[in-house]
Amino acid sequence: MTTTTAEQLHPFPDPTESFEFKAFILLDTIVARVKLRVLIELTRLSFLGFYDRFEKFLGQLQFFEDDAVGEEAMKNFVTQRLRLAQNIERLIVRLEPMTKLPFKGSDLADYVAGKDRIEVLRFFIKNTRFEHEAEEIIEHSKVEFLSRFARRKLTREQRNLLVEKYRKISIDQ
Amino acid sequence: MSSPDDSANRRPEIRQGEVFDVDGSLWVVVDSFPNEIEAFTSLHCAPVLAPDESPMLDLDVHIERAKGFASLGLLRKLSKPVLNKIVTDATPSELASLRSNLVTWFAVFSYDSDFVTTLPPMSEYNPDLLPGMILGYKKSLVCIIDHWGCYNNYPLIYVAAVVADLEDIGVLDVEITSDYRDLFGKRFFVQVNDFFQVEREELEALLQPSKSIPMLRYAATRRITRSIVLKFGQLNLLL
Repeated sequence: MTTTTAEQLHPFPDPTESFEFKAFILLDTIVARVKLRVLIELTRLSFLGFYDRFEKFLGQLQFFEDDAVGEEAMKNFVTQRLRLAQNIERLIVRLEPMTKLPFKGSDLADYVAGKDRIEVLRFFIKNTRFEHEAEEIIEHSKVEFLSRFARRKLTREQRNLLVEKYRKISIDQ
Repeated sequence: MSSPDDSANRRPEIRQGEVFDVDGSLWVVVDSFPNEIEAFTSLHCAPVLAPDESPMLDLDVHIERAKGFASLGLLRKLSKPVLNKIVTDATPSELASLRSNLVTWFAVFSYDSDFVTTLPPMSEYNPDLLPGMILGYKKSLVCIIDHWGCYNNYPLIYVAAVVADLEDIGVLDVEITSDYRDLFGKRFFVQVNDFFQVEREELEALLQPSKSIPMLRYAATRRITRSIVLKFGQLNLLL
């Protein structure tokens, strides 16, 4: 039985609970209205601080996930990532108005966050949703598996017939 | 902008569940993910067989309109150009069964919850082949990905190639470097999309008591399962 808890799985705090993330959420609306250079730099620093934590967090999560020995642990990791993805989605939404504000030959969102980083975050959200969905499908298939595993075993004749068919198909193709 | 000629020449998209006549044999397309991507030149298909041709396995699916069953134990990759003579297709419920049964076939569980403690032990006769094993087969490396085949002691087993330093890493390739390394620090991947079948006896011959067999840890086999879900389960809608 797996006894691993979410706390044991990743000793590093969720980056969306960091000071930097909260500071960004606080500053971004002000910056969108008042383009004060000092505020822009603070917003940028907040974002970069959050992003750095995000990258480290994913690295650590992957490290611990590689050692997972069961479904419960894997489910915990997906849950952690899903929660993180939902919070990051909020951040992406808040960056949106900044994309309409021209700044230094590009737009404010590009200056504050960088297009590549935004893409990485978007990909992370998409990928996490997929993982979550896949885990649910796998869970369902487990029930299917359990309802069928005890059925008949193949007889020797059936095994031979299957192999014969396989060999015939291999020659035909 | 595409001209009317272009659209006339373009091959219709091949969909999961469609049944094609290939040289007099019927094959049902089981791949979902690569259908819309031109880079994938072939698709996994299952032969549609009559009960007297081959044993119907527990996860095989009846395809009513093709008057046979999709033999999931004999999947094979067919190139898209040979899939040009469509005969019929699976009904929506048959298609759902195909998807679900394929995931069940390949999904790896850890049996760590209370309600599976009644599972019988794996095959008494040939307990050695397990999903996640990496074996040297015909001068290449392969990874066993066939949970259902191992469990049921089927005479045929699905394996996927293990390759080093892939140049074009696809969505369905699973990196296993954290579990499988070599002295040269290469990155290793399991090419899930190109799985193929080999006879169990050939794999068993590779198992020697004196030789240790590298084995993927649970997380890596679970990632392979997720890749299978993406391949068969229509999750591309999310991408």
